[in-house]
Amino acid sequence: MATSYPTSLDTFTNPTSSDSLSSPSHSGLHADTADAIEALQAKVGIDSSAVTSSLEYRIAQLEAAGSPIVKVAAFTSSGTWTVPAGVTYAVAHIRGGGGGANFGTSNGGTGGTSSVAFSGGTVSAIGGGGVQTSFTGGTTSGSAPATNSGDGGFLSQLNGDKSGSWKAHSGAYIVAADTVTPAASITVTVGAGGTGNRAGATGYVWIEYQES
Amino acid sequence: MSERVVAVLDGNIVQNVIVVAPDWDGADATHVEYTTGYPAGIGWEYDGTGFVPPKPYPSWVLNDYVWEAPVAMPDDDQSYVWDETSTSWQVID
Repeated sequence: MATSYPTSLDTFTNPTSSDSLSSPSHSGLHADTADAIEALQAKVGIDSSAVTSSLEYRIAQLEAAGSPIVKVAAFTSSGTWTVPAGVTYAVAHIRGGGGGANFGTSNGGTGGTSSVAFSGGTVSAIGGGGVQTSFTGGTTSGSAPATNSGDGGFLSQLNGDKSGSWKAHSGAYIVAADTVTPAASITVTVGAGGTGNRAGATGYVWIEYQES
Repeated sequence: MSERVVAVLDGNIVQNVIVVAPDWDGADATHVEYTTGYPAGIGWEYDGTGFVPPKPYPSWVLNDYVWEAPVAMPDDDQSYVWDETSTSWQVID
């Protein structure tokens, strides 16, 4: 029986203590196991093997390539991302600007749209909508949203026995990926926060990619 | 350092508001920088100098890029909402 490894696994007839040397054939069993061992050696490969199907060669190739390093290009303002050498795929995390919160008689502004212009198409995350307080007068307070959070503005108001709180919408958050070409320039737009007595926060764009 | 913000125009209407880099120099007919003192918003109209928000009521008048009611809102402890039909401020209960 010639070995069928590595296409499939061999099956050997293991002799018992009462079997004669001729059945199963003693010399045949030696020949079969020798064939299988040679096939195993060929699969594993010798030191520094150049045989591309050997495990030695394939492991050496993986070690030479090294572990990929994940990097992030962070944009807090609009600009251009130049694709680094060796990078062919990128994932963009896109947050639109937050809406503004306004006191009185007009709505807070809508946040700006953030986007990444991949070659396959521009991916956009729209800004959050603004709000306005539903009554006037009295005292107003509120805190500014965190910088580059894309969060909406916040207001609270107290007038006599009336009180309330208003929070503008945060910018939309989108994750999108595309193939990229090394050295290509990709336009990145970061949406501003919507205007208001408490303006929305600017959005952001993070582009995640792998470098070897 | 405060952000530099730019209105992106289509004609004279603001399509987007974006943050630009501190060294940005891309101002042109469709990219106009604005300030928090004279802000811009999506849908607002650029008149060549400043940005005009949408008119909230037909009777309101524009004063230095801010729409104002033809009658000043009473300054007391009550809350008011504008009533365009009677062109007056109505108390909110």
